[in-house]
Amino acid sequence: MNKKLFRTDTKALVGSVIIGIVMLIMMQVTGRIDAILDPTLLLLNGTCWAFFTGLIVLMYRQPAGIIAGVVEAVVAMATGYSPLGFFFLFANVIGSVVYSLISGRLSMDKLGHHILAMLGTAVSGNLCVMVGLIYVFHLDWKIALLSSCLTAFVGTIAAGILTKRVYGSLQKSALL
Amino acid sequence: MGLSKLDPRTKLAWYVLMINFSLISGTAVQLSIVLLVEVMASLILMGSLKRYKAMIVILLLLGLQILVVQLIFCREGVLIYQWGILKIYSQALPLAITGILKAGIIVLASMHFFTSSSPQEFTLMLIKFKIPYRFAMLVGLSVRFLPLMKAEYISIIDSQRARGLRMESAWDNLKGIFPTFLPFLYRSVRRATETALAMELRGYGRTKTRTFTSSLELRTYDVVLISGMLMVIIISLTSKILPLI
Repeated sequence: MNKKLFRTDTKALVGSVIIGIVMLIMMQVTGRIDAILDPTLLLLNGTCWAFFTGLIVLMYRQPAGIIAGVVEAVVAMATGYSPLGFFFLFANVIGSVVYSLISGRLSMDKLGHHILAMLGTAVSGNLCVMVGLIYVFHLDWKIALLSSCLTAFVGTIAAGILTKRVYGSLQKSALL
Repeated sequence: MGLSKLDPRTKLAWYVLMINFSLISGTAVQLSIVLLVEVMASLILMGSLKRYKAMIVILLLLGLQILVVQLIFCREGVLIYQWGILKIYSQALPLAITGILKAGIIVLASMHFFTSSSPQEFTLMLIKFKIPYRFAMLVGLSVRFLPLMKAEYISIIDSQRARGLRMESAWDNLKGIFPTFLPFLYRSVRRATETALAMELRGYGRTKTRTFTSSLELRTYDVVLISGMLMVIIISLTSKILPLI
Protein backbone atom coordinates (compact mmCIF):
# COMPACT_ATOMS: atom_id res chain seq x y z
CA MET A 1 0.00 0.00 0.00
CA ASN A 2 2.82 2.41 0.96
CA LYS A 3 4.46 1.84 -2.42
CA LYS A 4 1.24 2.81 -4.14
CA LEU A 5 0.81 5.98 -2.07
CA PHE A 6 4.30 7.40 -1.56
CA ARG A 7 7.32 8.10 -3.70
CA THR A 8 10.07 10.43 -2.46
CA ASP A 9 12.89 9.95 -4.97
CA THR A 10 14.45 13.00 -6.67
CA LYS A 11 12.68 12.31 -9.96
CA ALA A 12 9.29 12.45 -8.25
CA LEU A 13 10.12 15.66 -6.34
CA VAL A 14 11.56 17.48 -9.37
CA GLY A 15 8.75 16.12 -11.56
CA SER A 16 6.16 17.43 -9.13
CA VAL A 17 7.56 20.96 -9.39
CA ILE A 18 7.89 20.90 -13.19
CA ILE A 19 4.48 19.35 -13.81
CA GLY A 20 3.09 21.77 -11.19
CA ILE A 21 4.36 24.63 -13.38
CA VAL A 22 2.84 22.97 -16.47
CA MET A 23 -0.43 22.73 -14.53
CA LEU A 24 -0.21 26.41 -13.62
CA ILE A 25 0.42 27.50 -17.23
CA MET A 26 -2.43 25.36 -18.56
CA MET A 27 -4.75 26.62 -15.80
CA GLN A 28 -3.99 30.20 -16.86
CA VAL A 29 -4.59 29.35 -20.55
CA THR A 30 -7.89 27.57 -19.86
CA GLY A 31 -8.87 30.26 -17.33
CA ARG A 32 -8.60 32.93 -20.02
CA ILE A 33 -10.66 30.86 -22.47
CA ASP A 34 -13.27 30.26 -19.73
CA ALA A 35 -13.41 33.98 -18.93
CA ILE A 36 -14.66 34.53 -22.50
CA LEU A 37 -16.80 31.42 -23.03
CA ASP A 38 -18.29 30.64 -19.57
CA PRO A 39 -17.12 33.16 -16.93
CA THR A 40 -19.38 31.89 -14.17
CA LEU A 41 -18.83 28.14 -14.56
CA LEU A 42 -15.10 27.73 -15.39
CA LEU A 43 -15.73 24.27 -16.85
CA LEU A 44 -12.46 24.09 -18.80
CA ASN A 45 -10.45 25.33 -15.85
CA GLY A 46 -12.11 22.82 -13.51
CA THR A 47 -11.48 19.98 -15.96
CA CYS A 48 -7.85 21.04 -16.38
CA TRP A 49 -7.37 21.18 -12.59
CA ALA A 50 -8.92 17.73 -12.03
CA PHE A 51 -6.91 16.22 -14.89
CA PHE A 52 -3.56 17.48 -13.59
CA THR A 53 -4.36 16.60 -9.98
CA GLY A 54 -5.04 13.02 -11.04
CA LEU A 55 -2.19 12.73 -13.54
CA ILE A 56 0.49 13.97 -11.11
CA VAL A 57 -0.65 11.53 -8.43
CA LEU A 58 -0.59 8.64 -10.94
CA MET A 59 2.84 9.65 -12.24
CA TYR A 60 4.69 10.61 -9.07
CA ARG A 61 2.30 9.70 -6.18
CA GLN A 62 2.59 11.61 -2.85
CA PRO A 63 3.95 14.03 -1.70
CA ALA A 64 4.42 15.04 -5.36
CA GLY A 65 0.67 15.64 -5.79
CA ILE A 66 0.60 17.94 -2.78
CA ILE A 67 3.78 19.78 -3.87
CA ALA A 68 2.44 20.37 -7.40
CA GLY A 69 -0.86 21.61 -5.96
CA VAL A 70 0.91 23.98 -3.58
CA VAL A 71 3.18 25.29 -6.39
CA GLU A 72 0.11 26.00 -8.55
CA ALA A 73 -1.84 27.70 -5.73
CA VAL A 74 1.10 29.77 -4.48
CA VAL A 75 1.98 31.12 -7.94
CA ALA A 76 -1.73 31.83 -8.55
CA MET A 77 -1.73 33.89 -5.34
CA ALA A 78 1.60 35.61 -6.05
CA THR A 79 0.57 36.72 -9.54
CA GLY A 80 -2.91 37.80 -8.45
CA TYR A 81 -4.31 35.36 -11.01
CA SER A 82 -7.31 34.63 -8.78
CA PRO A 83 -8.54 35.85 -5.37
CA LEU A 84 -9.64 32.25 -4.83
CA GLY A 85 -5.95 31.25 -4.88
CA PHE A 86 -6.03 30.90 -1.09
CA PHE A 87 -8.85 28.35 -1.41
CA PHE A 88 -7.05 26.61 -4.31
CA LEU A 89 -4.38 25.74 -1.75
CA PHE A 90 -6.86 23.62 0.20
CA ALA A 91 -8.64 22.36 -2.93
CA ASN A 92 -5.38 21.17 -4.49
CA VAL A 93 -4.08 19.47 -1.36
CA ILE A 94 -7.37 17.81 -0.38
CA GLY A 95 -8.17 16.83 -3.99
CA SER A 96 -4.75 15.27 -4.42
CA VAL A 97 -4.93 13.32 -1.15
CA VAL A 98 -8.42 12.03 -2.01
CA TYR A 99 -7.21 10.90 -5.45
CA SER A 100 -4.27 9.09 -3.84
CA LEU A 101 -6.48 7.32 -1.32
CA ILE A 102 -8.95 6.13 -3.98
CA SER A 103 -6.39 5.25 -6.68
CA GLY A 104 -4.28 3.41 -4.07
CA ARG A 105 -7.12 0.93 -3.58
CA LEU A 106 -7.85 0.37 -7.28
CA SER A 107 -5.82 -1.15 -10.09
CA MET A 108 -6.49 1.93 -12.29
CA ASP A 109 -6.65 -0.27 -15.39
CA LYS A 110 -10.28 0.48 -16.22
CA LEU A 111 -11.95 3.74 -17.16
CA GLY A 112 -14.40 3.25 -14.27
CA HIS A 113 -11.51 3.37 -11.79
CA HIS A 114 -10.30 6.67 -13.22
CA ILE A 115 -13.81 8.13 -13.16
CA LEU A 116 -14.33 7.00 -9.54
CA ALA A 117 -11.03 8.49 -8.36
CA MET A 118 -11.74 11.67 -10.28
CA LEU A 119 -15.22 11.91 -8.73
CA GLY A 120 -13.71 12.04 -5.23
CA THR A 121 -11.14 14.62 -6.32
CA ALA A 122 -13.60 16.83 -8.19
CA VAL A 123 -16.19 16.80 -5.38
CA SER A 124 -13.70 17.51 -2.56
CA GLY A 125 -11.80 20.16 -4.53
CA ASN A 126 -14.92 21.94 -5.75
CA LEU A 127 -16.31 22.00 -2.21
CA CYS A 128 -13.27 24.08 -1.16
CA VAL A 129 -13.76 26.39 -4.14
CA MET A 130 -17.47 26.64 -3.23
CA VAL A 131 -16.48 27.98 0.22
CA GLY A 132 -14.33 30.56 -1.57
CA LEU A 133 -17.19 31.54 -3.88
CA ILE A 134 -19.44 32.09 -0.86
CA TYR A 135 -16.93 33.95 1.33
CA VAL A 136 -15.00 35.96 -1.27
CA PHE A 137 -17.47 36.50 -4.12
CA HIS A 138 -20.48 36.60 -1.75
CA LEU A 139 -22.40 34.26 -4.03
CA ASP A 140 -25.60 32.75 -2.70
CA TRP A 141 -24.79 29.22 -1.42
CA LYS A 142 -27.33 27.65 -3.79
CA ILE A 143 -25.71 29.33 -6.81
CA ALA A 144 -22.23 28.40 -5.55
CA LEU A 145 -23.37 24.79 -5.02
CA LEU A 146 -24.91 24.61 -8.50
CA SER A 147 -21.75 26.04 -10.08
CA SER A 148 -19.50 23.65 -8.12
CA CYS A 149 -21.70 20.62 -8.92
CA LEU A 150 -21.66 21.43 -12.64
CA THR A 151 -17.89 21.92 -12.65
CA ALA A 152 -17.38 18.72 -10.63
CA PHE A 153 -19.64 16.72 -12.97
CA VAL A 154 -17.97 17.90 -16.18
CA GLY A 155 -14.53 17.62 -14.57
CA THR A 156 -15.15 14.04 -13.43
CA ILE A 157 -16.17 12.76 -16.84
CA ALA A 158 -13.80 14.75 -19.06
CA ALA A 159 -10.76 14.61 -16.75
CA GLY A 160 -11.36 10.90 -15.99
CA ILE A 161 -11.23 10.00 -19.70
CA LEU A 162 -8.29 12.33 -20.35
CA THR A 163 -6.26 11.04 -17.41
CA LYS A 164 -6.65 7.44 -18.54
CA ARG A 165 -5.59 8.22 -22.12
CA VAL A 166 -2.69 10.53 -21.31
CA TYR A 167 -1.35 8.36 -18.48
CA GLY A 168 -1.61 5.32 -20.75
CA SER A 169 0.35 7.05 -23.50
CA LEU A 170 2.98 8.25 -20.99
CA GLN A 171 3.43 4.67 -19.77
CA LYS A 172 3.80 3.41 -23.35
CA SER A 173 6.35 6.14 -24.14
CA ALA A 174 8.58 4.94 -21.25
CA LEU A 175 9.04 8.54 -20.11
CA LEU A 176 8.00 7.75 -16.54
CA MET B 1 12.93 49.92 7.06
CA GLY B 2 12.09 48.22 3.74
CA LEU B 3 9.74 45.28 3.37
CA SER B 4 12.63 43.11 2.21
CA LYS B 5 14.42 43.68 5.56
CA LEU B 6 11.65 41.94 7.48
CA ASP B 7 11.93 38.24 8.27
CA PRO B 8 9.76 36.05 5.97
CA ARG B 9 8.01 34.72 9.10
CA THR B 10 6.88 38.28 9.92
CA LYS B 11 5.53 38.61 6.39
CA LEU B 12 3.76 35.26 6.77
CA ALA B 13 2.08 36.52 9.99
CA TRP B 14 1.02 39.69 8.14
CA TYR B 15 -0.38 37.58 5.30
CA VAL B 16 -2.40 35.38 7.69
CA LEU B 17 -3.66 38.51 9.49
CA MET B 18 -4.89 40.08 6.24
CA ILE B 19 -6.57 36.86 5.04
CA ASN B 20 -8.22 36.59 8.45
CA PHE B 21 -9.54 40.17 8.24
CA SER B 22 -10.75 39.74 4.66
CA LEU B 23 -12.73 36.64 5.61
CA ILE B 24 -14.23 37.83 8.91
CA SER B 25 -15.04 41.42 7.92
CA GLY B 26 -18.61 41.67 6.70
CA THR B 27 -19.19 45.28 5.72
CA ALA B 28 -17.73 47.39 2.94
CA VAL B 29 -16.55 50.00 5.50
CA GLN B 30 -14.55 47.43 7.53
CA LEU B 31 -13.05 46.00 4.35
CA SER B 32 -12.18 49.46 3.02
CA ILE B 33 -10.31 50.22 6.27
CA VAL B 34 -8.35 46.93 6.01
CA LEU B 35 -7.49 47.66 2.36
CA LEU B 36 -6.44 51.20 3.26
CA VAL B 37 -4.16 49.87 6.02
CA GLU B 38 -2.65 47.44 3.51
CA VAL B 39 -2.02 50.19 0.95
CA MET B 40 -0.53 52.47 3.63
CA ALA B 41 1.75 49.66 4.80
CA SER B 42 2.91 49.15 1.18
CA LEU B 43 3.59 52.87 0.82
CA ILE B 44 5.52 53.09 4.09
CA LEU B 45 7.58 49.94 3.52
CA MET B 46 8.23 50.28 -0.21
CA GLY B 47 7.87 53.98 -0.94
CA SER B 48 5.60 53.54 -3.99
CA LEU B 49 2.85 51.38 -5.42
CA LYS B 50 4.37 51.12 -8.92
CA ARG B 51 4.96 47.37 -8.71
CA TYR B 52 1.22 46.80 -8.21
CA LYS B 53 0.21 48.49 -11.49
CA ALA B 54 -0.46 45.16 -13.21
CA MET B 55 -2.47 44.01 -10.21
CA ILE B 56 -4.86 46.96 -10.53
CA VAL B 57 -5.67 45.94 -14.13
CA ILE B 58 -6.25 42.34 -13.01
CA LEU B 59 -8.47 43.54 -10.16
CA LEU B 60 -10.52 45.74 -12.50
CA LEU B 61 -11.19 42.75 -14.77
CA LEU B 62 -11.98 40.61 -11.76
CA GLY B 63 -14.26 43.29 -10.35
CA LEU B 64 -16.18 43.37 -13.62
CA GLN B 65 -16.56 39.59 -13.45
CA ILE B 66 -17.85 39.73 -9.84
CA LEU B 67 -20.27 42.52 -10.76
CA VAL B 68 -21.69 40.53 -13.71
CA VAL B 69 -22.07 37.42 -11.53
CA GLN B 70 -23.87 39.40 -8.79
CA LEU B 71 -26.13 41.19 -11.29
CA ILE B 72 -27.18 37.85 -12.79
CA PHE B 73 -27.44 35.69 -9.66
CA CYS B 74 -28.08 37.97 -6.64
CA ARG B 75 -31.61 37.51 -5.23
CA GLU B 76 -31.26 39.70 -2.09
CA GLY B 77 -33.04 43.03 -1.54
CA VAL B 78 -35.87 44.39 -3.67
CA LEU B 79 -36.34 43.91 -7.41
CA ILE B 80 -35.23 47.10 -9.16
CA TYR B 81 -35.12 46.01 -12.82
CA GLN B 82 -36.45 43.12 -14.87
CA TRP B 83 -35.76 42.28 -18.50
CA GLY B 84 -37.06 38.85 -19.49
CA ILE B 85 -35.52 36.28 -17.15
CA LEU B 86 -32.82 38.76 -16.05
CA LYS B 87 -33.76 40.25 -12.64
CA ILE B 88 -31.57 42.81 -10.89
CA TYR B 89 -31.95 43.18 -7.12
CA SER B 90 -30.92 46.11 -4.94
CA GLN B 91 -28.26 44.17 -3.00
CA ALA B 92 -26.31 43.16 -6.15
CA LEU B 93 -24.08 46.25 -6.19
CA PRO B 94 -23.21 46.34 -2.42
CA LEU B 95 -22.40 42.61 -2.52
CA ALA B 96 -20.26 43.10 -5.63
CA ILE B 97 -18.36 45.93 -3.91
CA THR B 98 -17.78 43.74 -0.82
CA GLY B 99 -16.57 40.89 -3.04
CA ILE B 100 -14.20 43.19 -4.95
CA LEU B 101 -12.78 44.61 -1.68
CA LYS B 102 -12.22 41.11 -0.28
CA ALA B 103 -10.56 40.00 -3.51
CA GLY B 104 -8.39 43.14 -3.46
CA ILE B 105 -7.21 42.52 0.12
CA ILE B 106 -6.36 38.87 -0.61
CA VAL B 107 -4.53 39.64 -3.86
CA LEU B 108 -2.54 42.54 -2.36
CA ALA B 109 -1.60 40.53 0.75
CA SER B 110 -0.52 37.61 -1.46
CA MET B 111 1.65 39.89 -3.56
CA HIS B 112 3.19 41.44 -0.41
CA PHE B 113 4.13 38.05 0.93
CA PHE B 114 5.23 36.20 -2.19
CA THR B 115 7.04 38.97 -4.07
CA SER B 116 8.96 40.56 -1.21
CA SER B 117 11.12 37.56 -0.27
CA SER B 118 13.74 35.76 -2.32
CA PRO B 119 13.42 32.02 -3.06
CA GLN B 120 16.35 31.40 -0.70
CA GLU B 121 14.52 33.18 2.13
CA PHE B 122 11.50 30.97 1.54
CA THR B 123 13.75 27.91 1.59
CA LEU B 124 15.35 29.03 4.86
CA MET B 125 11.92 29.75 6.35
CA LEU B 126 10.75 26.23 5.49
CA ILE B 127 13.94 24.79 7.01
CA LYS B 128 13.16 26.77 10.22
CA PHE B 129 9.71 25.10 10.16
CA LYS B 130 11.59 21.73 10.24
CA ILE B 131 10.79 20.82 6.60
CA PRO B 132 13.57 18.55 5.21
CA TYR B 133 15.90 20.44 2.85
CA ARG B 134 15.08 18.12 -0.09
CA PHE B 135 11.55 19.55 -0.02
CA ALA B 136 12.40 23.10 1.07
CA MET B 137 14.81 23.58 -1.85
CA LEU B 138 12.02 22.96 -4.36
CA VAL B 139 10.94 26.61 -3.91
CA GLY B 140 14.09 27.79 -5.70
CA LEU B 141 13.59 25.15 -8.39
CA SER B 142 10.05 26.32 -9.11
CA VAL B 143 11.11 29.99 -9.34
CA ARG B 144 13.97 29.01 -11.68
CA PHE B 145 11.79 26.87 -13.94
CA LEU B 146 8.69 29.09 -14.23
CA PRO B 147 10.08 31.46 -16.93
CA LEU B 148 11.81 28.55 -18.71
CA MET B 149 8.60 26.55 -18.94
CA LYS B 150 6.63 29.59 -20.12
CA ALA B 151 9.20 30.18 -22.87
CA GLU B 152 8.99 26.51 -23.83
CA TYR B 153 5.20 26.63 -24.10
CA ILE B 154 5.39 29.75 -26.29
CA SER B 155 7.97 28.06 -28.54
CA ILE B 156 5.66 25.03 -28.91
CA ILE B 157 2.75 27.33 -29.86
CA ASP B 158 5.01 29.06 -32.43
CA SER B 159 6.08 25.68 -33.86
CA GLN B 160 2.47 24.55 -34.22
CA ARG B 161 1.52 27.89 -35.79
CA ALA B 162 4.32 27.43 -38.32
CA ARG B 163 2.69 24.07 -39.17
CA GLY B 164 -0.62 25.83 -39.85
CA LEU B 165 -2.43 25.78 -36.47
CA ARG B 166 -4.74 28.80 -36.14
CA MET B 167 -4.59 30.59 -32.73
CA GLU B 168 -6.57 33.79 -33.34
CA SER B 169 -9.97 33.62 -31.62
CA ALA B 170 -11.03 32.07 -28.29
CA TRP B 171 -12.49 29.11 -30.26
CA ASP B 172 -9.17 28.62 -32.09
CA ASN B 173 -7.36 28.69 -28.74
CA LEU B 174 -9.77 26.08 -27.41
CA LYS B 175 -9.13 23.82 -30.40
CA GLY B 176 -5.40 24.49 -30.09
CA ILE B 177 -5.12 23.24 -26.52
CA PHE B 178 -4.46 19.58 -27.38
CA PRO B 179 -1.91 20.10 -30.19
CA THR B 180 0.08 22.46 -27.95
CA PHE B 181 -0.47 20.93 -24.54
CA LEU B 182 0.47 17.30 -25.23
CA PRO B 183 3.96 18.04 -26.67
CA PHE B 184 4.45 20.47 -23.76
CA LEU B 185 3.56 17.79 -21.21
CA TYR B 186 5.80 15.13 -22.77
CA ARG B 187 8.74 17.55 -23.03
CA SER B 188 8.21 18.56 -19.39
CA VAL B 189 8.29 14.95 -18.21
CA ARG B 190 11.53 14.40 -20.14
CA ARG B 191 12.97 17.63 -18.68
CA ALA B 192 12.01 16.52 -15.15
CA THR B 193 13.85 13.21 -15.62
CA GLU B 194 16.98 14.94 -16.95
CA THR B 195 16.96 17.62 -14.20
CA ALA B 196 16.51 15.03 -11.45
CA LEU B 197 19.44 13.03 -12.80
CA ALA B 198 21.63 16.16 -13.00
CA MET B 199 20.71 17.12 -9.42
CA GLU B 200 21.45 13.65 -8.07
CA LEU B 201 24.82 13.65 -9.82
CA ARG B 202 25.57 16.92 -7.97
CA GLY B 203 24.81 15.29 -4.62
CA TYR B 204 21.20 16.41 -4.02
CA GLY B 205 19.67 14.19 -1.34
CA ARG B 206 22.94 12.39 -0.59
CA THR B 207 22.97 13.56 3.05
CA LYS B 208 20.09 14.24 5.44
CA THR B 209 21.12 17.82 6.20
CA ARG B 210 23.10 20.53 4.43
CA THR B 211 24.48 23.99 5.10
CA PHE B 212 23.44 27.28 3.50
CA THR B 213 25.42 30.43 2.77
CA SER B 214 23.01 32.53 4.89
CA SER B 215 20.61 31.95 7.77
CA LEU B 216 17.46 33.54 9.18
CA GLU B 217 17.49 35.20 12.60
CA LEU B 218 14.46 36.86 14.19
CA ARG B 219 15.24 40.44 15.27
CA THR B 220 13.51 42.20 18.18
CA TYR B 221 11.11 44.11 15.90
CA ASP B 222 10.21 40.84 14.11
CA VAL B 223 9.35 39.20 17.44
CA VAL B 224 7.27 42.22 18.51
CA LEU B 225 5.42 42.36 15.16
CA ILE B 226 4.73 38.61 15.04
CA SER B 227 3.48 38.56 18.66
CA GLY B 228 1.25 41.58 18.06
CA MET B 229 -0.24 40.14 14.87
CA LEU B 230 -0.81 36.71 16.40
CA MET B 231 -2.55 38.36 19.35
CA VAL B 232 -4.87 40.31 17.01
CA ILE B 233 -5.67 37.09 15.08
CA ILE B 234 -6.45 35.18 18.30
CA ILE B 235 -8.63 38.02 19.68
CA SER B 236 -10.58 38.43 16.42
CA LEU B 237 -11.13 34.68 16.04
CA THR B 238 -12.17 34.31 19.68
CA SER B 239 -14.63 37.18 19.38
CA LYS B 240 -16.17 35.46 16.33
CA ILE B 241 -16.27 31.94 17.78
CA LEU B 242 -17.31 32.68 21.42
CA PRO B 243 -20.84 33.97 20.56
CA LEU B 244 -21.46 30.72 18.62
CA ILE B 245 -20.75 28.50 21.68
